Amino acid sequence: MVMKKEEEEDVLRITAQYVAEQQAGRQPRLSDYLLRYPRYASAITDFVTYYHAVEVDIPSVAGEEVSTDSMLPPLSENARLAFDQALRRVSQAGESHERHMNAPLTIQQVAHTRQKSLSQLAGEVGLSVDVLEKLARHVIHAATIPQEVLRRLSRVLELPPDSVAGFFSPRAAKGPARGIAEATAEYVLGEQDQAQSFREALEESIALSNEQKEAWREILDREGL
Amino acid sequence: MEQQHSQAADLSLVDSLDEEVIKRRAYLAGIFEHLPIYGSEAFWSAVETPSMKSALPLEVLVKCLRSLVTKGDIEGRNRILTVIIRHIQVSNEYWLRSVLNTLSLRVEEQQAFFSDLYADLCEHLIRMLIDPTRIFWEENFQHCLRFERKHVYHAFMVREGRWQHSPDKLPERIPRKHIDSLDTMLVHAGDETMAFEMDDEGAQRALLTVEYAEIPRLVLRLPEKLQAVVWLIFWEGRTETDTARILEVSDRTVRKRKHEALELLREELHTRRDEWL
Repeated sequence: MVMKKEEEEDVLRITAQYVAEQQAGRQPRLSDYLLRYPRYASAITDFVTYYHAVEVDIPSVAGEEVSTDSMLPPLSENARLAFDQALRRVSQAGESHERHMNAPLTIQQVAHTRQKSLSQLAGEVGLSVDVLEKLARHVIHAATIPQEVLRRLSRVLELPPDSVAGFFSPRAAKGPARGIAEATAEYVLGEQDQAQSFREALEESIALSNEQKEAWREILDREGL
Repeated sequence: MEQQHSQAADLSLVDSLDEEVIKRRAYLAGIFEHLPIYGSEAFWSAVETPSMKSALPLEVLVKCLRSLVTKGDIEGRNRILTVIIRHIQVSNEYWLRSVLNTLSLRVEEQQAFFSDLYADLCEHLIRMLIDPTRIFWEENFQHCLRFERKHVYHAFMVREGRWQHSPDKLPERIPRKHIDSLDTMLVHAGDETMAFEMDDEGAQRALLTVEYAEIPRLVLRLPEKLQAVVWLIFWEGRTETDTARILEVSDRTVRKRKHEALELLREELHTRRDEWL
């Protein structure tokens, strides 16, 4: 049975609870879990069976429950060979896949991984969707964005501030590289060329309340923007 | 009354587990927030420290890794991946050996399978670790690792034809007492219907005499839809009616699945016996 990523995350959380109970010596029963989560009955049974058949006696990863100051072992020869081979396979899996893997993520993608919509994210950082969309589309000059925006996004998205700043840098706005044989694209006015300041976006917003606008004006003044 | 008590106990258990999860999240977030500036010497020193005691939790390393992926920093990505692989290599190599020990392999086969399976495992892990949508890796690395190894194990066993429901099954040795138990029942079987029931009875008896810890390995070889019935009846000791209630199916379906599962296990035991004798 092929599960969606979200469903697999649910099963991971449920089975992690089973394992936690088992490790705490509580002897969990599969039947209790099947009654509680009938939707995932097959997947839970599959994992619990595998866990008792294979994993139950496998030592935890190094570093967990370390009492003495032991040292991390160097890569074993077997591990090095397997890792190198795996890295090659991942790289060879297709240029488009590789490009996708290495492509900078957008703020919407990161918000999605944190199970937040753009409007939820906007609410949590005290902005409106229209301003946040402009930020995501690079319509706002990066230099005019207050540090407070980066700090709030960093906290909500659980990312370092410099990663958040990367979402608004011109580099992140680049599209995929053009192939050698592709025709030169016609000149169009880029979004950065139409950029406005954060303050202008703030004043233009129809979704921000007057109180919110006032609060942001104060922040902009404080940061000299 | 007893049921209410049990439900209350369940709820308090869930609450206490939830509390632990919340505490753990806060602890990991705290470490991540206080990391030195990305790319600085102090950052790499924290990431690559050889001391296990002061090593960063693997969940934090995963967050760092994903942060590097968002920056498109391939070199940094590979550096962190190497650290993670070093942390989990003892556990992974133990897992590889225990998986391969369950198969009857010659020494040279063992080494070849070890390398193939190890590379498969690393490839799966890399793909998961760099995928920012796999959020649970940032919360419970150890469990995600178990789960991913399950996928790799399934794929390997099916590909190598090691399972009953895969096309080219290969046999394994089993204790003689289980085989004898099957034979005894078959000798007394009369007409065809009786033979079926006795086959079931024999397999059921064999399964009941199998060492408790061996049951999961046998269940694992069954197709998914049959696993729960065998688990609930033979591991948890539930009745067919109880099993039907838990799985929300009819008693008849439970009997049918049990028959199907025992038939597969009976075949399995016979195949093993033929190979052994």
